[in-house]
Amino acid sequence: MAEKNEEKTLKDVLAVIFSHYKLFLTGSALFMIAVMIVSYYIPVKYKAVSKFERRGDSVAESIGSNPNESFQTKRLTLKQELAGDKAIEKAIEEIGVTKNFARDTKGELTAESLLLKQNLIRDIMANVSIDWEVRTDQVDVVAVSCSAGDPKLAEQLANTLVNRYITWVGGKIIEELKSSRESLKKQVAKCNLCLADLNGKRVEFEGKYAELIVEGTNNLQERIQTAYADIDTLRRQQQLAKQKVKQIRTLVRDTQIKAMKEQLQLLKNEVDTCLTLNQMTQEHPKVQALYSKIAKVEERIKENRDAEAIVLEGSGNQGVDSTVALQLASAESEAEIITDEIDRLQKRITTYKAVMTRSVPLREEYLNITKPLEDQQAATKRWQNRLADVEMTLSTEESHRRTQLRKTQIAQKPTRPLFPPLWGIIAAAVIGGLVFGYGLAFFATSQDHTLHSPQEASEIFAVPVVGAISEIELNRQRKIRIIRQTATALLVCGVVIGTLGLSTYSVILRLGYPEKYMNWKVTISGLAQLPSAQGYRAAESIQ
Amino acid sequence: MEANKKNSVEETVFPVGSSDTGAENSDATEKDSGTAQKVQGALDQIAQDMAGVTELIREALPDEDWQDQTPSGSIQAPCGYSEVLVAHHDRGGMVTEEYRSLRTNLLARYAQERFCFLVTSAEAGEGKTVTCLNLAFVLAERVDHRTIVVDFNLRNSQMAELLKVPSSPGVADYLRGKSELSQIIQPTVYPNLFFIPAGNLEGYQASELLGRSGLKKLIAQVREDFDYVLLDTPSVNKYSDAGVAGLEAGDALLVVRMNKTRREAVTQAIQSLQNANINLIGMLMTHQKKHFFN
Repeated sequence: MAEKNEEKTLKDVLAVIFSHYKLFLTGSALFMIAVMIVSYYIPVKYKAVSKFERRGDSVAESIGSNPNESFQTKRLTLKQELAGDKAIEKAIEEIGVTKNFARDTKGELTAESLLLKQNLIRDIMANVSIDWEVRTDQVDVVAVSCSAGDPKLAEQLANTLVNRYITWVGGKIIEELKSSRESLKKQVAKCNLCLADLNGKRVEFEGKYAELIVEGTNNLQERIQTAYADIDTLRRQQQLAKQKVKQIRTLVRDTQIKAMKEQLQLLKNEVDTCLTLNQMTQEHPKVQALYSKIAKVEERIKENRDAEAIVLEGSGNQGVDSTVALQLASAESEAEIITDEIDRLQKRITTYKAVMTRSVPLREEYLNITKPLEDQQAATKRWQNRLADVEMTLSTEESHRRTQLRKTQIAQKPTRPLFPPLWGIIAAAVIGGLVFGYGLAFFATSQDHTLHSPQEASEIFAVPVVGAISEIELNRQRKIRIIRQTATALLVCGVVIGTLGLSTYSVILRLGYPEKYMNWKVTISGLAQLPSAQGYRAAESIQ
Repeated sequence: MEANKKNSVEETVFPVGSSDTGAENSDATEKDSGTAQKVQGALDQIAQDMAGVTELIREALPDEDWQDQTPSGSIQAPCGYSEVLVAHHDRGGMVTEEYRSLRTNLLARYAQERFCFLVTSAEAGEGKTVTCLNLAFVLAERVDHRTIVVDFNLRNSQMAELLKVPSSPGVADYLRGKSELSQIIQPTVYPNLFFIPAGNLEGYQASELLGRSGLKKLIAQVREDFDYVLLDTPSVNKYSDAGVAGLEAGDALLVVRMNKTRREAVTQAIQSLQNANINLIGMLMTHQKKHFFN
């Protein structure tokens, strides 16, 4: 009598179904009809999608967002900015959804209307989704999906939200760019002032310690070496000039001695003449004068012979060619110049050496002036570049030639509702119906305590089954049964299949072809008063 | 014509409606036993030949022609037996073959080829009476064996109605002492098949009558006179009649209607039979509907 607990095979399942196939079919069909009818009262939702791309802009990003914030934070920020309660409130006001809301005498919304509006905003917020279709460092493509019972509302909401966001972000960027521009201008001016001050210090220092600053220690050393070399050259030139002067002077002395000797001879001849011819005595004044002159000339000759050089002066230069005198003067002048140059170079060398002694601290002092100057110059250039970028971006934004935000897809009015899904309902109806029908058949089987086969009886009662006799059915009984069953089956099948077909056709039309559905509903005027049709008409009226 | 001829022969062997006592009938039987056995053998041969001829005709003719000749698709009943007695009307039919299979199974259980058991069920309407009669018809095909069906369903007798014969005198009359055994045994169209109807209660309670000693005597007599004794009784779970008759018969065949009789009822019936010390030889499943998953 013990029942066996065996695993159910497909044959067992089919046996359950076939043993109660009428119950299975009827239950399945009724469940399908129920699903269709229930789905008929599920409010439909239409979905419209608008897309925009957001390109990376270093200037705007540096102003508008924190580069270190996470993607989730960015997403939440975007969601709040794009589809926050404020954004949706303004969007529905722009669309005119609240136009027909009740208002008081001052034109303000009444308390009920405000509550209704808040509920509407909350509902819309729940039905707006923002998805990143593309997310890279350079560009983001963001899809804004709006679901609503009214297809036109879904379309308008998606477009309005995106438009408003782009406009709002553009305005915000312009404001921030302007603010940034002013700030950068101040910064650039401040940098320029600082730069001018530092430049003044540098010029003053360089003016004071030009050579010290300009020349380095090595250069000074080279200059000293060069100066020494120049001095050597000049000394050689000086030597030559002195030799030249000496030669000229020797020449001049010889010439003068010769001239003086000639003059002496003349004087002597004149003395002789005076003494001989003119018979004058030694005491004669003239002879005395001549002797005096002769003595002077002899003295002068003697002086000239002793002197290395002579000075050409007045009458003492008698007998010297003027050209030689000039050459002598020139040579002497050249020698003096060279001597002066040597002195100058020696003084310079002395200065250089002194500078070399003081160059290191001065150099450091100079660097202390020039380094901040260079830094300041770089900073100034940087700020100027940023200012130029900001001004360029600002001009672009102001001329509405935006490069950061651009709408890439305009939301279209959806022709088919997103929810409830047609195939989902059909699948739910079919699968659920089969499961429900099988459940009924299984329940009926589980509640069926009758015997269905000789084997079953033998196993349960442990009593041998000596035979199994088929059901004895007379022809007349069979005919009556067939007629009755056929009529019943036709009637039940007609009703069930008709109802199922009508409800399925209605659901397919409603969810798959709303326009045809409306025409069909108009045709079947008796069904036109159903709530869903009224809702759809209300949606159409809003359009 | 054939049936009438057989009836007349049977009346010769077992004079129906005779006012003789059982002892006299027994004497007459002994005297004419030699002649009767010869006549019985001849009749059995004729019946067998007739059945074979019918089968041959049926096999030879196309189904359409057979249907044209016999609208019900079966041999025209030579008598007014109910159409549900398919073992009589449709001897080549599938159901009849199933009864033959039952007969084979039963005979396999009784080596001496003699048995007496009651046919009962857990509840009413499971096909006891029809089963009993159809089984009797296929047993009657064994012409060298004698079969009798006794209707012990005194409360709701249907057997006489199915056979279109008077329901009395029968078991009730015998138990009341108003009739002898030879008076209540009725012949059928089959020479080796006999029938005892339930009879007329006439104010008596069935349980009261079945409690009388005549029951034991009746069953002992038919067991002695016949090879196969089938006792049709009421349902076990409703009445105790089956238990009373079963005490004498010893064995029982439980008829169970498929797809209708609850297991609990069958369990209860088996328990009742066991409590009554009745040997359950097996179960017979009726109303079987054949389809793929069966």
